[in-house]
Amino acid sequence: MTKEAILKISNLTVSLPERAERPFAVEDVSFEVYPGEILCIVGESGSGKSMSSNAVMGLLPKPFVYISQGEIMFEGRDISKISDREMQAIRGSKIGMIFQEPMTALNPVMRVNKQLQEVFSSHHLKLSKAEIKTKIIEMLDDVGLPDPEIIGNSYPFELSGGQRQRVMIAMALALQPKILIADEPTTALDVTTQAQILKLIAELQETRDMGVIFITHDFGVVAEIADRVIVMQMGKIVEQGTAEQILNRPEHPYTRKLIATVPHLGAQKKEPVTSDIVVSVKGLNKIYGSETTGLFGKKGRVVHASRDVDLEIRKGETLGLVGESGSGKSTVGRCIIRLHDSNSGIIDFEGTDILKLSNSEMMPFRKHIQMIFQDPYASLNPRRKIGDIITEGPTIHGIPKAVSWKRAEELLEIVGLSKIALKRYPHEFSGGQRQRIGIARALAMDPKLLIADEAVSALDVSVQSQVLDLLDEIKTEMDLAMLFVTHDLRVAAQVCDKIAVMRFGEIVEYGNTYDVFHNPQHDYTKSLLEAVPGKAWKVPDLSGLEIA
Amino acid sequence: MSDVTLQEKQNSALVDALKGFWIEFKRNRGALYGLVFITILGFVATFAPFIAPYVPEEQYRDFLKLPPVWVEGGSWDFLFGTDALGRDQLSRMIYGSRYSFYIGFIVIFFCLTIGIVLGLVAAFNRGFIDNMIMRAMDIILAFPALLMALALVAILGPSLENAMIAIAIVYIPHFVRLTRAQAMSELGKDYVSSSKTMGASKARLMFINVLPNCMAPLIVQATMSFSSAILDAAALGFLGMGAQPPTPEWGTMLADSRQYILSDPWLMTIPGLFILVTVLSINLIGDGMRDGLDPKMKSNK
Repeated sequence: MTKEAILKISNLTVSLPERAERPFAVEDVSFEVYPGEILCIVGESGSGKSMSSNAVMGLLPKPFVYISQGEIMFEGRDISKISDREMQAIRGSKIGMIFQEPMTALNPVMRVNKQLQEVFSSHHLKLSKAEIKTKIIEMLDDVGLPDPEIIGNSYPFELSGGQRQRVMIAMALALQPKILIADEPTTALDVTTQAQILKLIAELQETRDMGVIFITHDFGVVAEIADRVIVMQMGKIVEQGTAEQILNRPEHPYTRKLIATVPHLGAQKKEPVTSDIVVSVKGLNKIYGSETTGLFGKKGRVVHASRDVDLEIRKGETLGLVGESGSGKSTVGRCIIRLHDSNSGIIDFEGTDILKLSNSEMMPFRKHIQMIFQDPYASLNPRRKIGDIITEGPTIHGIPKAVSWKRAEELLEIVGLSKIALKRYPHEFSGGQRQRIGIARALAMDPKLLIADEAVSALDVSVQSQVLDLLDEIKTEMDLAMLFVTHDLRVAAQVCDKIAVMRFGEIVEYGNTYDVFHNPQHDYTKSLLEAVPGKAWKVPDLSGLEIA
Repeated sequence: MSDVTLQEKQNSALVDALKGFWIEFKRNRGALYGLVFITILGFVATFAPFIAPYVPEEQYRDFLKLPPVWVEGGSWDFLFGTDALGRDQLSRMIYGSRYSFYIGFIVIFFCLTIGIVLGLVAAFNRGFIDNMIMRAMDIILAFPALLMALALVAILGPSLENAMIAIAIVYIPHFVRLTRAQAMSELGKDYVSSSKTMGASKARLMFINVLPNCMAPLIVQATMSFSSAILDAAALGFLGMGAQPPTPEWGTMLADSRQYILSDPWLMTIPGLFILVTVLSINLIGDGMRDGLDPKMKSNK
């Protein structure tokens, strides 16, 4: 590259407080950012990728976490050693930043206009009110927001996730920074919105000749936008190079491991499952809210979370229920397990319509339908030991503690944990381990139908693939029917026999995974597939190479 | 990780949690001083018969209104002096501390049990039952606390027990609200959903699954209310609606010596000072506990 680097980080080391699990958050990290390029920093959670960017922005939680070594050269000076006041002048005006969660990064009680004005006034720019106003409209227009006037007058909660992220980007770019740091800016967004935001960032970067540091855990996103890639593990850079190099010919075993765990987008042709039907759902309707007028004359808002949903799952079959947030996919799962009451429909579970059963009649069926939840941190009771958590279900159903305890030991073995875990509390386990415990808990009931509600969405890729393998193994071994609710099309392609695509509470496409992926019929399915990041990148075959 | 280290780790989990709490608590100097004072007071209250030099009701007619030892005219026989009837102030203070703890513990016991049950029932039965419970609590809260307690004592008749019942009723709404709010935020979490899918009964969900996760703020609230209960009982005693003479309750002692406030001010000063320091100490402990128990406060330091 002939251009001169705008940001040069050399031997950066960030120290953690004494009792932390490792001495350094970031250790001996050096890299450069050039104008007009997108540099992706990838790594799993805890790899120090966010810490390095926070160090650049001077946003480390001092005094506990601090830069103990190295320098960050920007415009000819070392910004790691300048005062807070000087840093403040650089922040925002020379280096902009966007965050993962736009809802919390924007002030919820301030109109968008006002927040954008803040940017100007906090940097003491001598601009008249009218000038600022035209500037704001221009900015909102630049980030592709329709009707900048209206958007400017709204509060953040009135905007959609994608619109909020666009406002964030507008704010970050207001003062024409030379560097934009984007910390997982699309992780909280739906695929179609994510695709738009990625495109927007790439466009803006090009027109303004900015350097962009893009932090992500998603190799699909990397493939979509990166020029250069840095791979981090445990606070160290293990590999860096051009995107093409890293993605197709990774050198380091850790990079190879990460790439090898990325699910392939293409589905394989599978034999259709023809065993007995375990559950068949017909005409399931679920409406949130009611149209009746409330006490104070407010008309209730109604959301049709499930509209005439039909589906069936056979023994040993996995049905993927995919869709974006708010499509009603989780609602359908929760209606089948009767966590939510449905408004109408039939859920035929091995010949019995379980929707018509009373709570006590439902009891014997509870054993047969079990669920694995999304958030491994919220789905285990923090005040109970793992043993009590796993044996709770059997105990409720009258199985003696000694028997269920023995079974719990076996189950932990099946999910790959030591039986000592039974006497420990959830907070002593990592996210992946907790998800395994969640699976063991579901299996303790000897279910026939397993509902996995975004069961791997909160996990790092390498852990994700282990849990997926485990689920697949269990399904085959115990001949379970599985309803796999997910927003991630790559994951769905890998594990599901059949796919149902949902939008606004309706199933718009339903068929074999292979057919849905290779010959989508509905426009919405097509746009979903179109939006998958890095779809042009074919995950390389790394078998035979050394993998960490 | 080998099994041996796992075993060790598991044994130390609770110890670690307590240690973490203690480290956080210790950081708060005030809380530490408060704890020291309350520990001493608790010791004195427990062993009152052995520590007190005299029987608190015994009248020494030769020594009326004797000033404390550090004031001119005081005597080493009566360290805190004597009251208008010649009773030893120190002994009365020592026995009085028993009443303070008694009031605090009983009131908090009733508040916690009733508050938790009502709060959980309200949180688990949204709609009619929830509305009934919460509106009833709103009505109690609509009255000034002490006025409400006074009115209740007026109905029940003045005695220490009735005063405690009245104070408990006044404080229950705080516990109900807190429990309900906590329980409702826990109810949305998936571990509760998971128990539901297993077919767990409502009682099981309430007391085994949700309640332990609501305890931290309730413990803090209980500590804070402990001191308020002592204060209110003293106020009721002062107004003649609480403990009745000759009970050596601190508030009653204040009331007994009210008419001597100008001539013999120490008679009121000593019980007043003890009420003040006791309440302050408990509040400081409460602050320290909040720092240690509430993870949201932890990160702020």
